[in-house]
Amino acid sequence: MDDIKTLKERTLKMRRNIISMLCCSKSGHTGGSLSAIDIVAVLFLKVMKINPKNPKMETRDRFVLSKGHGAPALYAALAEAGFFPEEDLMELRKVDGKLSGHPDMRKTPGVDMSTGSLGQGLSVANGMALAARLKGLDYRVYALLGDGEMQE
Amino acid sequence: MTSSHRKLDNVCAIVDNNGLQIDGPISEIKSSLEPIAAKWKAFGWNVIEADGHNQEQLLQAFEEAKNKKGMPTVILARTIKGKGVSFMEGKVEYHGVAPTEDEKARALKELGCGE
Repeated sequence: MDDIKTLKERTLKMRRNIISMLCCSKSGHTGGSLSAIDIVAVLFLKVMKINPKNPKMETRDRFVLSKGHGAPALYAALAEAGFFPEEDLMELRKVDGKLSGHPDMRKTPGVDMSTGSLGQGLSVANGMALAARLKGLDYRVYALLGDGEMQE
Repeated sequence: MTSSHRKLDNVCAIVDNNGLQIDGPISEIKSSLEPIAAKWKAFGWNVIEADGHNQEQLLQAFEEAKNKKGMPTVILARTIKGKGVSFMEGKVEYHGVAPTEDEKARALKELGCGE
């Protein structure tokens, strides 16, 4: 039970970070980040096999944020999981910062796929899952979709 | 369909089902997504429904998903847009808008921050 309590406290902190980083950037998607954060927190803090010290570890579980505009939720989770310092969250949407308005796999440690063009995340997840089979690895792939994007 | 055709049981999709998109309720903008569970089932998915803000339920759902062999799993998570901040909950106005300084202060207070 303590475990769940800690998880909930950490999720609450991530909600505060979402609000703070969005206020700091003065633009971005608040509503959908707050609706997704409980799910993202469970994945990054409890379910997924990941290694913040080695974000590209071949055997890691993958995460595709198909609803890419929910990036603040992903960034809050990555910071909480230890991929980068919490202070860096205030770089959101800043020129030359590593936290783009939509996830960018070339800029942010821990981001497995650049997203934002809706409706594509599941196809990418399928590709990653097939790759695991071909390589004989047992990682899992998680794709978070928005309900709105399902009929884009 | 690819996921189920290829029997990708290492794929787990989660739907953040908050019912709203940028211009309003999804059901008013296009047709309703319902029956959403039946649609995923028809495409060959193992479907689990959960409260997307109940982390105990979500943990259990992910465990079930992991143990399901031979087909992909989708977790249909019922959520509320803006969850956690009373004046943002269920409000489409906050889809793509950041909080102002004043809204931030009110929100942080609700989220357990004493400032």
